[in-house]
Amino acid sequence: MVKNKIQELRKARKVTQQELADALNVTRQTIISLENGRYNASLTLAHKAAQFFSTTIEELFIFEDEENI
Amino acid sequence: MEEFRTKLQRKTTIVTVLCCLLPIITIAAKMFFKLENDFSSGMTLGICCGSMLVVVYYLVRNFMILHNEEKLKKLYIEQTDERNEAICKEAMKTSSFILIIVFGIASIITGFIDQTICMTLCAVIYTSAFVTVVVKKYYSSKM
Repeated sequence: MVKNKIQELRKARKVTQQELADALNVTRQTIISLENGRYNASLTLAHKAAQFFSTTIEELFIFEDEENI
Repeated sequence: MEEFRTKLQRKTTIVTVLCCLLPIITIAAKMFFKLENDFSSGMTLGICCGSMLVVVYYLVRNFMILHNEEKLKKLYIEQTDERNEAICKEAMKTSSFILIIVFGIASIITGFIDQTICMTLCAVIYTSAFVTVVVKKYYSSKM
């Protein structure tokens, strides 16, 4: 299971879902699904999102089973 | 984005050529096979008219999109959105599985009623299985 801090970081930076969607070249629905945890981003999208928030993929996405890896 | 625009322009050109070829093919087929009965004539005309309507709609839509940057970006996002692609993939996988099951059950049932329908359904199942194998082989060599 992968959780993410997209909503948290987006709100902290006062960015709307539409603005984030436009920046990442995805639909707003994709951002909503990502924030709700209904959809897991691909490596490319994760990389783009991490770049947008000036952070790393590891910090933005939390792998819950990390201890078992 | 420029790559997407070129791709869309190429698609539009191909569809335009097909749009011009469709009536010619229909008339040629009608003359070649000497379609006399009402059913085949009606079917051919219906398919031709329906396809032409769809093609004309597609062409008008593409023409409008190609001349509007905002609409072009919207379509680009819609078509390249990875969630939409994932949904399409999942839907195709599930629907083809359900279709095979339905065709399988239908072929068993129709086996008791009509041999022709049963054989047709079996042919559909075998064809889809064959296409799946070929497509899988193609992608396994590509990835």
